[in-house]
Amino acid sequence: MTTSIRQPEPALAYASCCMYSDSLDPPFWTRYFGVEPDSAFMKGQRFKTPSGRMSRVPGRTGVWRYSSRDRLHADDLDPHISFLISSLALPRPELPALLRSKDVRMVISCFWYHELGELHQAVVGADLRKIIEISGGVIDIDECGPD
Amino acid sequence: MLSPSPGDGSPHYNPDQPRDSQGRWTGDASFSKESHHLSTLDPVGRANLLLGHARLSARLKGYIHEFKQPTQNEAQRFSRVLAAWNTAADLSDKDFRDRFAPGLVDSLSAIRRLRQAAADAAKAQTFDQMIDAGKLLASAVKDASAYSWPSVLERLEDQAENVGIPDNLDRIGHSDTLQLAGDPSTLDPRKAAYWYGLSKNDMRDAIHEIKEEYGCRRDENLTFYKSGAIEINGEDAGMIGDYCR
Repeated sequence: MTTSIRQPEPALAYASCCMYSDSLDPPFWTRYFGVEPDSAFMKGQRFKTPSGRMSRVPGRTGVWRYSSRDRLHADDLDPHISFLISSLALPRPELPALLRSKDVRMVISCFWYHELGELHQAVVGADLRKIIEISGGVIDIDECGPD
Repeated sequence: MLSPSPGDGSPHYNPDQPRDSQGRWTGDASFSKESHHLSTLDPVGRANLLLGHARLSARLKGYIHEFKQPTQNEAQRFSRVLAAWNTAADLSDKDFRDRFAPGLVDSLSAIRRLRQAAADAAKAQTFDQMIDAGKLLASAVKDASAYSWPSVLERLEDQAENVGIPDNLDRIGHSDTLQLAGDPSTLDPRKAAYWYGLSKNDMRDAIHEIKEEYGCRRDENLTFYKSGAIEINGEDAGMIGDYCR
């Protein structure tokens, strides 16, 4: 019997470094970054979903994903992105060329819930954004607030 | 001045009328049942009456120290709670408790009274029926564990909000699918969350997880089905339950 443990409070912010490619070789990126990913699977493979169950449908592209979600608690995005930058030792000069040669899309995928009343796109510090950009990645923020 | 007791056949009282600090009616004694027909009340009006009668019953029984007339905002909010409770008529009492009152109302007897009060209020044709529904609601809330009467009601309201009450029950109720654009900032996760019994945040979180696992771009569309099935651009992407922690 599987027991799921819910977080006492919902995560208000987290960021994940996601590498996507139809020809992705997940072990390569694990070795390259030197961290154990939260998800890593090739296109067409079933993967472990957040519920702990295997996916019903195979992955539609290859994914390597390392997230701050269960590693850091902070309600703003900057600490989460800083955590990824530190953990993955970014920027790496050779990384943009590597991404191009392997046809990999690198996305810093962010979830941010806040109650500021308005949506603010400029929530990531300019220096952090610059580091991601020169690393060949893009920042994608799912921002939401109260209804 | 009249000081009515609910359901005792004394002059008819109405929570819409002003009251003193003790909860005693200070309204016009000429008010009568005959001049008001509950059948014409809209859901917010019914919620206002039920909440008002429940608070009055609680005040008269000493569960609360002060009677407060429901505000329009409270009545509107409570009407959504009642709609959610009554729409979940197919749930067992235990499932209802787990979904709408986890940690708030322990006893299934109290849950039954809570549900009965909501159902009775929805179909009440007379003030006496509404008064009885108010008493039932007051007694159910009184039996809630750990929290004071006003607090537990607020928490029940929060919980009902959290499971996501659609703004338009009819439209959602008659739809088999809900299309969501790719950008969660434009989504109304309450509507999908309502189907799945998730909190709004959990629904948003699940949407984000789906996007991460499938590498969705912003221009892609997610479709959620009542069955729990998810599609991305029309292709099978599993079940919502897989993306809930």
